[in-house]
Amino acid sequence: MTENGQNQKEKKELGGNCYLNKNCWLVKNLNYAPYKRCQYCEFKFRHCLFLQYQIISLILIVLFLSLFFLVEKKLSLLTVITIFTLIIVYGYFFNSSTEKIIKANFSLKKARNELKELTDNLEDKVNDQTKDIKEKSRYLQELLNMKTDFLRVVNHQLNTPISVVRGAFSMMEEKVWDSAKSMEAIKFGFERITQTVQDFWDAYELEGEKMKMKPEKIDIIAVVEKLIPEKRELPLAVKRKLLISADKPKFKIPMVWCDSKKITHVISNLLDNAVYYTEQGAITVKYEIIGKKYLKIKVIDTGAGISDEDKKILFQKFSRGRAVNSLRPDGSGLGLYISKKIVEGNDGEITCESRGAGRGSTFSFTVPIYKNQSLNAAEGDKITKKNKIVVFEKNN
Amino acid sequence: MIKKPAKTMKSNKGRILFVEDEKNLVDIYHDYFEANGYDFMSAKDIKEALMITEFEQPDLVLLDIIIPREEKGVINLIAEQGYDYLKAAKQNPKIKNIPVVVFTNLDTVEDRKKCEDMGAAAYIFKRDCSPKEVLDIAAKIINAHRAR
Repeated sequence: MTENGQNQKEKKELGGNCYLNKNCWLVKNLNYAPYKRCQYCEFKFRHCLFLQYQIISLILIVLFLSLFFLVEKKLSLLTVITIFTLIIVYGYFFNSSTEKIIKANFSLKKARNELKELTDNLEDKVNDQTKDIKEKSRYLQELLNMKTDFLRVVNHQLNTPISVVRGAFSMMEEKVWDSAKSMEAIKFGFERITQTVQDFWDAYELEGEKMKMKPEKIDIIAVVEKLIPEKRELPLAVKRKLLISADKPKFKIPMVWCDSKKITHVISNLLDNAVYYTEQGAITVKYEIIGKKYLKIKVIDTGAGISDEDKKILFQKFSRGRAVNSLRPDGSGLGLYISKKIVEGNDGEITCESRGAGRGSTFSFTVPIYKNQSLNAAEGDKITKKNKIVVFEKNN
Repeated sequence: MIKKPAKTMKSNKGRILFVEDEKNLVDIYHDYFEANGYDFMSAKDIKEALMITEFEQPDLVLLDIIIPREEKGVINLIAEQGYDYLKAAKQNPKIKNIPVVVFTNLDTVEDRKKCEDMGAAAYIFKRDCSPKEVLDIAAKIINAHRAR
């Protein structure tokens, strides 16, 4: 339909087959073009050279014939034939030459239009591409800034424990502190360095999706039961007299399918956070089965709670790159980000709920229930945790 | 948490205020400066630090730059609060003459320049300095100020 319409429109345009020159009195009244050249002509009737020629010819014929008639009192047949032959022959050449002129004009006009269109398009295209390049450059600049920010944090976070270690050494050297006290600070420093390097590297690897999960059939209750006594002994938990426990559910908790070591890390991280942000009260681990396929593990605390706007940013600190806005005062602050990546890598989901600031919060994640899944051998080979010591037998 | 000096009288060697959030470092420098006869106070929050500076009029302030700050319930680990302190201290006529020595683990030319421009008396890159070096600089600056 639209194609037809477009065809018709094209025909009605200058140079088209059904083109009618609305300026031309003759064409307009005839409703068709009397000559081929008329389809290229936009002139008004009185400017049409050929019609002018015809009218002048007619006038001349009448004039000459009357003149002959007046002078010689009769019309010679030869004279009449000569005049008409001349007019027809001249008319033919004149017609074809005006046709050429008009066609040439038309082509010139068309070419000019096309050139204009091309220039306009070219300008648009250049503008588009410039915009595109500008956007890309802005994005790259952003990445560069992210990198700078990231390195600034890494640098600072690593320097701090180093300065503690250096200070402790000096204290020991100058005998201000005894070696036991210095050792304590040195130990703290090294642990902090190790943890920070590990966290930053984990975050980097997770960003590149390099960390591969190695799922197995595990008993999640055993993991939780093992972690809880450890967390009860955290200095902060002892100081705040926090009650840390796991709910005994009425239903049988199924085995789950996930990477044991990494999921342990997630639970440990959630419990650590809960301890950190809960000044008094209790931390409880609860279980729930979601649609027969997933087990949900909830870590519920009675602590600081989280406002709605903070919920959005909790898990995505590093993915947004401005890495550094909201981190815990100790450690690298990448905990939740790493946890999210691990849970997602195990086909689960991590969420947090809170009724608002000061009203406690619940961090939960899901893991698939074990249903005879098996590990793809190729995937299993990609062990992520690097061994501390590797002996290359063949080189010995 | 303010660690007040054991003695109430002003130490003639000098009174130092250490603005720092890292407990282990505070412990080290507290013991080191006290062992060398200085009065030592510390603060891990800049509001508190400004108050102490005004009331206690220390001879020197050792200022960390990156001090965590709670923002809407979430803690910003690398809030550069030290600069806020420096700016506020230099605008307060009661404390603007107390020398502030920036003591940080940031290590860029920009940070050094910024501290100089903001009126810090010195810039110490924390990682590479032993307590003795810090004390020597502190002593030198305190003496220079007293000589004026």
